[in-house]
Amino acid sequence: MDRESQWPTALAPPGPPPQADLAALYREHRVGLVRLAVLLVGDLETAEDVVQDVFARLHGRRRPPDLTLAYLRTCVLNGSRSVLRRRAVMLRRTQRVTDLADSAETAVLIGESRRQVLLALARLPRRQREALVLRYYLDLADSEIALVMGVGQSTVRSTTARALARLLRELGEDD
Amino acid sequence: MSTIEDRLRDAMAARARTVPDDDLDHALPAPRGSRPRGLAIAAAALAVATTIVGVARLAEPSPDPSPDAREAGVAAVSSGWADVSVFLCTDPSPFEGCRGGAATAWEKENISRVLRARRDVKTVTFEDRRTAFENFRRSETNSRLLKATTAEDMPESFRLKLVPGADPQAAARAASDLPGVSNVVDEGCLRDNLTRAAEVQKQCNFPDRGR
Repeated sequence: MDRESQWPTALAPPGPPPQADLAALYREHRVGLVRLAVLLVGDLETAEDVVQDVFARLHGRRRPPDLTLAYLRTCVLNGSRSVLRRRAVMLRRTQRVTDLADSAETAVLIGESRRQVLLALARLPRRQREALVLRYYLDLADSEIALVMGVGQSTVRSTTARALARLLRELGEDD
Repeated sequence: MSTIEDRLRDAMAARARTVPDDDLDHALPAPRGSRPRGLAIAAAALAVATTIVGVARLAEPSPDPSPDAREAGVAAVSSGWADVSVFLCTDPSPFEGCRGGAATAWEKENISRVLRARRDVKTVTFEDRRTAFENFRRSETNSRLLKATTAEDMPESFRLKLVPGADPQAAARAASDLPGVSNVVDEGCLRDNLTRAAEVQKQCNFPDRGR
């Protein structure tokens, strides 16, 4: 499937949309994007930074002519990847596992069983985790996940299947 | 539907719910690469402090000033001749000592009285926001900074001329202790720093130490 055709460029307005549009998108989607990011990076502060950074970069000419939610989600995914990459470099020798429950308070709020799931999710390879978050948190269709992640739909399906199988192996005994 | 999928949905939804809804109306973040507004304003204040002095010094030596130079000279009378500039707190302010908000009428009165009472101070001139803004507009060349700045962003200030031989650092330090002062600049020191190597540059800026 041709992914290029999903970004309608031929009919797009010539310049970036007015500032008001960006502000409206920010108001409307900020919290949702922070929630997406928190599942990818594990803690609220970093998640908020990622989203702030995405919008700060969208000023001026760096913006695509059609600014969609899918595009914003791709930006959050990319931002989260950068954060995790930096963090991995930093923690390589000290601590391997990142915890998706960032504080004791959060751990209590969500409960031990859910925390085990999130821990297992955090241990997955980056793409597998992203695919699961987009599928089971955002409830996106394969085609939408493919668009946001920038991969083909068949890759989405195989990645999701592998991720689920791995989670099942890690958490299976709890069921 | 397999249980692992349900557990995933449930765990992720629970984690996401720990991110609270917005209780504040968040402002859109500023473009990347620009400094926070507070810093830009501080920079603007500093730019005023330094560049006006430059204007004044250009205007000074001319025996028969052209209309342009005369006009610059007027600005110089209000601020450029200063040896020490005492900037007042604005609201909001990037300076630690200004947490209580803008300088109050009482604080301004007090600053003026204390400065005038000093024996090393020859003249004290008050510079309002409008004058500061006009000076800033005339001297600033950064168009983005110019566009983002209004008269309201400019700090009010007292400009001090000292008696010959007085130590501007002492006056600056003393002024920085007064409540309602955001920071104090030793203008001569700043001017000299322009020609000093980085390692030997002196401290010319004295932030207020709190109310």
